[in-house]
Amino acid sequence: MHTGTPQDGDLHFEVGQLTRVEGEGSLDLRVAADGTVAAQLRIFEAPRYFERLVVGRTPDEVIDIVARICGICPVAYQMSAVHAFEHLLEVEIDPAVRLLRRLLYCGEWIESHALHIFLLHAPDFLGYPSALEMAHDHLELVSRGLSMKKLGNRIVAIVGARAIHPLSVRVGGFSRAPRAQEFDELYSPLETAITEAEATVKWAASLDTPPSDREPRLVSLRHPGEYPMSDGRIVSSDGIDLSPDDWRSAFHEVQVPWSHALQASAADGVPYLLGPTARVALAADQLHPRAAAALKATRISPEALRRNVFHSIVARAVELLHALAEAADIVASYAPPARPASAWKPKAGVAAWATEAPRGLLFHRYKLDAKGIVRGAQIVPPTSQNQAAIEHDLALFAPAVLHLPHDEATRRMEQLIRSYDPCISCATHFLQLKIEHDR
Amino acid sequence: MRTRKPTPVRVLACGAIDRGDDGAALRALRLVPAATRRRWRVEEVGQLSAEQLIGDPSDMRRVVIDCVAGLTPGAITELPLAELPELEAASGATSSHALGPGQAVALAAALGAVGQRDWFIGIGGSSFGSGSGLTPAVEGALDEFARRLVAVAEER
Repeated sequence: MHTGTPQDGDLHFEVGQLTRVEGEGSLDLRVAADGTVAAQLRIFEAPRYFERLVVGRTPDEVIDIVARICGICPVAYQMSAVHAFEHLLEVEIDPAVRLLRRLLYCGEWIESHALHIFLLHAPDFLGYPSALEMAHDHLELVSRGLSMKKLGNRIVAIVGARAIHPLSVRVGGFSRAPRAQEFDELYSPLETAITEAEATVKWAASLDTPPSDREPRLVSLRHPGEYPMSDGRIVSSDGIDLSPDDWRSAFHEVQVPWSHALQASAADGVPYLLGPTARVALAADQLHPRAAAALKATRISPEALRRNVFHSIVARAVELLHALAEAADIVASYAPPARPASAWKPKAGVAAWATEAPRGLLFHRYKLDAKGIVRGAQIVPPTSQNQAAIEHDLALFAPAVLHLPHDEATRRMEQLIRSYDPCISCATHFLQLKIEHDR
Repeated sequence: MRTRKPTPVRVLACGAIDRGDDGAALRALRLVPAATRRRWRVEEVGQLSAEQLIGDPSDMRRVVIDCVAGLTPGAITELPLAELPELEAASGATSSHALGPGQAVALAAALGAVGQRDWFIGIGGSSFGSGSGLTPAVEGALDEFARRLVAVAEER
């Protein structure tokens, strides 16, 4: 860290390497003489060129390739891609396949949310540098997190044939649908995990959160009959209402000079927030009854949940509970589809769709030729879309902590950044913190 | 005469087969006779994570095999799994994306999920590029890597 650069009159604050986030980046803050703060999230991880790698490939190959973008949320990449292709190719999906896909997504939400709540974010609230140090004093908490993560991975492995980078998703369905007996091992662990997740919501709501107040524009899918995952419309807290293939009519990507990751922006340039807080705020009425009851019992108002960025851990815990409860329901009623996949024929056109990755809306768009070969691609991960909101919130939050010793200021700002559960590996791929003060 | 009940063995093979020397553990596993492998619970785990080490019966021997950056290519090291965090710290290898194998073991150990029966066998590697094969040094040491795996897993 460097504090102060007297030559140019700036006060410069630098966090060298963001920790407990997925990927590599840094944060630069410049404090002007009037006290206003400008934040730049510098994502310097090398570009990964996935949008080029999928060109010349078939839809099923694309589904396997894009799963490699992230080891935490590969299912999200598969779901956005497969729904995009199926929408263009007008493939009718067996209702049992649709349920199986929701179960697969639940598995990913469980492992991703458990990892973030217990291993990445909890140490911030409890005052530990990492989960490893935290484990010595909070054994039960870490153990609970690992057990839930393991359960989420197991669900993905049963449905997707592999816990990381699953293999079975295909256009039209799956290459193989599990037999009902394969889910027998999940009943008891799911029931245990649901009870523990209810306790987790209560615990998360009891955490001492720093003051934070902003009014974010929230964006997520919303569906009339279910909590948003793979279907519904793209909606916002201020009136956006789009088909999930129509993301580009309200949003676009821009290149900022300090980041290898493209940033996404709304047409009016106002930053927007994706992820658990947005989903819980915009679709609270669709939460599983057990998750809705747990949220209500926290007595955190919807307004407080939305306005305090640090309450994201509560929203994430509510979604963890939702995903576990929904997974239990699906497993209990599961009957294999008559056929694991529906047939389809290639067709030229544009395939586009958005689904809800654990970190928020994930948009895919592919151009296909008449043989069904991909000729162009656009993939917009949630962290790319949240970058501007992170920078905006850091600029608002920083004045409250810049007077603190550097290590403490860094810790507080990393805590804020981790509230977004950023996945820089997805966005290209974080934290050095650099502050400059104009004097 | 009573026969001693064999110790259950779980082998966790780390790495990616399509990333050069990173596939060494998976390739060595293929050199183990099928009859021997059938006595074990074998899992290809990609990158070792802490939750993979929790929940096993206490009498189970877990053997983690992996390719290690920082060791001389082709050199084989075996050590109690509980000592892996020290090896990782000494090698200076860290990841910003996830807990490294040593950190994962340390976290599992903090939960009491790593025992004296658990071992790690590593082979030094130098090339981890996508789509490449094993480097000659690792290729040449693969038979010995497999032999050491059997010896440790079977307590020979």
